[in-house]
Amino acid sequence: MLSKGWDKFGLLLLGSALLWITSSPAQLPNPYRDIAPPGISGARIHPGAMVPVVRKWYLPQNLYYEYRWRGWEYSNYAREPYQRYVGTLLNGERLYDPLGNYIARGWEIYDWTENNPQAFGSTIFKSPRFNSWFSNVIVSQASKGQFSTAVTIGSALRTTLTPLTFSKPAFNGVQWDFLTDKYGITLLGSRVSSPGSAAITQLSGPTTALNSTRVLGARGVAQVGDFGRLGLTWVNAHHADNELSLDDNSLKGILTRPQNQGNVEEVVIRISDDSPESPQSGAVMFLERILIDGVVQGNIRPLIEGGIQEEGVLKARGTDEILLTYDIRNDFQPTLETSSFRDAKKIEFELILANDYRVEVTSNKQVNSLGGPVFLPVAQAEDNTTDGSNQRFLRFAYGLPTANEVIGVDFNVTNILGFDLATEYVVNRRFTRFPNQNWRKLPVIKETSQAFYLTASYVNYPFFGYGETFYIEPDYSTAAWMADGTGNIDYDRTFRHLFEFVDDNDDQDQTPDWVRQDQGGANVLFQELAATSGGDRAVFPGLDENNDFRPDFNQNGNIKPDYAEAFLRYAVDAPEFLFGTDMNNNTIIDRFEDDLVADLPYDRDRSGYNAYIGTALMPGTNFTYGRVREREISSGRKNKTTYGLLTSEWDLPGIQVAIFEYLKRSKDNVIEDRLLWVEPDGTTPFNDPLDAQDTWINSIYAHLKYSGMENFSFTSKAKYDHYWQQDEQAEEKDNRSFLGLINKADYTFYLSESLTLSPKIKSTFRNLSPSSKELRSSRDREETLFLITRYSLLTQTWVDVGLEFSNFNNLKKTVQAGEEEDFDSLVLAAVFSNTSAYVGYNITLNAGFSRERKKIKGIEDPLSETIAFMRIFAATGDE
Amino acid sequence: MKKTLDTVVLIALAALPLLGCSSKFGLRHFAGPVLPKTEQAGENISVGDDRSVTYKRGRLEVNLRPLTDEILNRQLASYDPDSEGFYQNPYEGSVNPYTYGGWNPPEQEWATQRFTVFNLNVKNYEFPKVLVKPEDVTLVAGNGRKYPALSFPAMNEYYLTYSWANAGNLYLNYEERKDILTRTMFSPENFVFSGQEATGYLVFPPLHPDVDSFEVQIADLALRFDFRDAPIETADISFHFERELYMAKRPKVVEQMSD
Repeated sequence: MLSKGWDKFGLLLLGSALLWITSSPAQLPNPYRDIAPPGISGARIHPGAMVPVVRKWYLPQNLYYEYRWRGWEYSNYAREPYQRYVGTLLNGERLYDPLGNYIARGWEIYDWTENNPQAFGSTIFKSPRFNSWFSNVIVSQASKGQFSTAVTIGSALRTTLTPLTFSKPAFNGVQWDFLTDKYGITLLGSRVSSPGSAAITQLSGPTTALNSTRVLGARGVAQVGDFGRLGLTWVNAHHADNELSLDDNSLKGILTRPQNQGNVEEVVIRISDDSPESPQSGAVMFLERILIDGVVQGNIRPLIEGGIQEEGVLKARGTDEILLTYDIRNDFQPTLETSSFRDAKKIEFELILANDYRVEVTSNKQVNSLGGPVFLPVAQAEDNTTDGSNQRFLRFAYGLPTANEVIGVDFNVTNILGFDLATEYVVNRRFTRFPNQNWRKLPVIKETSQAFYLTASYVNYPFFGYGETFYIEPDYSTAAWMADGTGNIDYDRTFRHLFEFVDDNDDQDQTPDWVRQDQGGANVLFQELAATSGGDRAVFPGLDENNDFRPDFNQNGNIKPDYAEAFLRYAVDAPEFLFGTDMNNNTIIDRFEDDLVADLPYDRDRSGYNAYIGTALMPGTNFTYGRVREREISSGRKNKTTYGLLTSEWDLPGIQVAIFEYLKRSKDNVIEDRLLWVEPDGTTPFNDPLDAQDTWINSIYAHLKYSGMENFSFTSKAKYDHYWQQDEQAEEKDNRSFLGLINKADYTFYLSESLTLSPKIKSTFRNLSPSSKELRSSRDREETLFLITRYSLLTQTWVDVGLEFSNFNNLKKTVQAGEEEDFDSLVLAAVFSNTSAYVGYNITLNAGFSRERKKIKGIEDPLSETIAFMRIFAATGDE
Repeated sequence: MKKTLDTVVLIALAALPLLGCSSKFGLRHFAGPVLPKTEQAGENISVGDDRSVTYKRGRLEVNLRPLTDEILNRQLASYDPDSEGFYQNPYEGSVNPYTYGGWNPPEQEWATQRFTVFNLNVKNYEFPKVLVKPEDVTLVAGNGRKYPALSFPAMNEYYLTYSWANAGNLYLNYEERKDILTRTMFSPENFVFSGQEATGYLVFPPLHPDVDSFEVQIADLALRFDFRDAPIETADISFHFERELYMAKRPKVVEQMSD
């Protein structure tokens, strides 16, 4: 009883104490608070907070009316459970523009700032959300009436201005487009040397750079009349230094700090044969001298290595080369203008050269990461002159690359009475500056080159005509050197230090065929891979018609091409049975060619024209007659080809016939080496055999398909290529030829609702005669029988059994390299298949085995291979 | 001299095929609109004013109507953006999966037909359920040509090509086409239950220029089923059509049909 009374007293005392502690100081309440949209205003005076007490406030004084807080609150979660703290950045931060205007509460996604002069003043910040939320592309767009504009920032933008100036499948930068009914403008910008990747956290710092290489571009297009479009294009890549003011930087570039450190102490000039494959000509050097700040330095005599002294001049033929090494540091003689080689502002060289020369230069400032010299081109001779008639005086100033620029004008006409025209003229300007650490910015040295093309076409059924002319100088360049984040340039590492205005992308996919840092949708991870191959490991132009990124000759992606694989070989024929045009006469059908050079509309170092006229003789039958005149400017090699092309297709009920005839008269000694996709090896170098130097070439292809009988199909293909060598060529080369025949037939028996039987037969004959007199022809024949059955156990369950017997005959008495010996092969395969639905996917089961037995002539024991497998495939639909 | 000889030989070879061409030189094949034959085989089949043909069995109706490109363009007009100005954005073209939209090649003034399309409508007020499978529909020409109805995977494969390669814009167009196909092609799997109607497009390749008459055969129209949904009563239907063939320099102007 007594205890209960004390308990009540204790609780009363505790309650009184709490009330005393939490009571607020005496004040007149003032509920007023500013009501205003978000903005920058600084801290304000609050009358409600003007209470003269000494005791510490534990809560904001001015929010008394809002939350009825006293000076101190006891926390008791007995009735209202405790809730965890919330992230203070859940909705981002308040963001303001430079003028103090409130933008929103959110996140900074991208920030590219150039601050001059400021050390490391070039900054690019990409929020992690740039990647995770926006998948590396963010667009800001506006439009009103006919006016539209959009800023696109991305790490892989498909950006094309014109074919000669800028075309990339994965441009990493900013593109700003404007479009009205009559005008279009595009602006480009990128800090290509380090465009930055998404930061690890939102609070991470930006990617900074002291020296950087920037790309700026602009294109304007205007409609002229009803049919014409006139365009102007400018693209520039230049080095910049943020420690210098904007005025001290230049669109002609300045040397990065590592480029400009030290002095040029040694210069090496390399003179070589511009056409080493033709040893009858070569470079001839008559005279050389060096000038420093305009004064001849007679004391600096080069160390001469290589070359052959003949008739008082120095010559370099074939793979031979002349090296002139100038030791400026030790041989320099002070002059009135220049007291030390360290004060030099300009070093020039004078050479008298003739015939087929190529001049390159390096110095102690132009090296790779190991300090080894890297030569960059200076000049090369036109044509393959041998009589000295092109003797010239070459004077050039030495410098390191600082900028590259293309300026072009283009004009297009579309469909004026069937007439189309497209033309473009571009000037390429390449800038260098002489490096000297005692001078931050010496005068720029400029070199220019040009490129031009014009195409015109006319169609007025049944007649059509087309003409194109082009001229692209050998040193026309759409590649700019770029520094790394520190400003260094290794002139040997093109994949890291070259920025391409026009990428190589022969297969026209998302990825450039070569590796260029930050310009291929992915960074360079493996230097070894980058140095030995392209960035795109799957380049098979023309051989991926279904666009599944697998070559059409290896659809199941295994190590055997489909035309050599059991059962699949019935439907797939070898690539030599394809037919197409070969305008450059290198024996490869043009649309399957690959290379590792920029995809300019015409090859660099070429001039010439191509023109044809044609008519539709009847629907489905066209005849074309034309001629090509093309010259490799630097070597003088020429392609003179006159051609006729007849294509005819008849699609009759039950029977389809196609005949293609391509006849050429060629005099072509231009070397057109390429890359070629070969199964199963992949990209393979291909050397032009130069089989069309004075040659009649005929290629005829015929195709017949009969399907007029129910369940029966017969296909026949024949292709015959022949090169008739003329005059002197006939003495050097044999007549190359290829004859191929394929016949195949199949019939399907529907024995019951659930059982089908398909016998098939395929016969292949090939006869190949090479142009080399040292190789003999090869001839073979293969007959293959197939028997395919399918038994359906249930609607979605069936068993396939296949039997294939093949008899191969090498019709030559002996077997040479690359040929196969006679063999018989027998393949038996059985596959159990079932399709069903499983957790939202269509599941297909394949289980079975295949066994191949191959008996090769001359080998006693037959080869055998057995494969057992069980595979599950999941698909999301019936695509 | 030798150079001239080469040229003469080439031209002479070129001239050979000309011998085979005579009065048809410069002319192209054209075809008029697809029209139902007035005399249809079978008493259950009637021809409508809208060029459609209807099969009736009790209160079951199967109606087939040929659709011209103009009709298809109007039906899917919102997928054919009206791009103004000189700049023709290649990404902004028509995504109508059945026609080339309003586009025609610059060298000709008329659109090329992409597919042969029919609208199939099934009204079932007779049977508990019926089933039409598009894969059992074949267009058989009078001259023996056969065109099976194109399946969704075939149409998908047709539009997939290159859609992955050139930025995401083309892929977006591809997805949009796929969506239109899913919504508008005649569904291959759905029963038409009693009191229901089903409609959708049957798509065939463009007909060859020698096809002047043809029939669309719907085989095994399933009318009754056993407990496993296997058909136990089926019907085969044929709809007969014809069109005018001619050779000319340009197509004749034809009367526009309403939707």
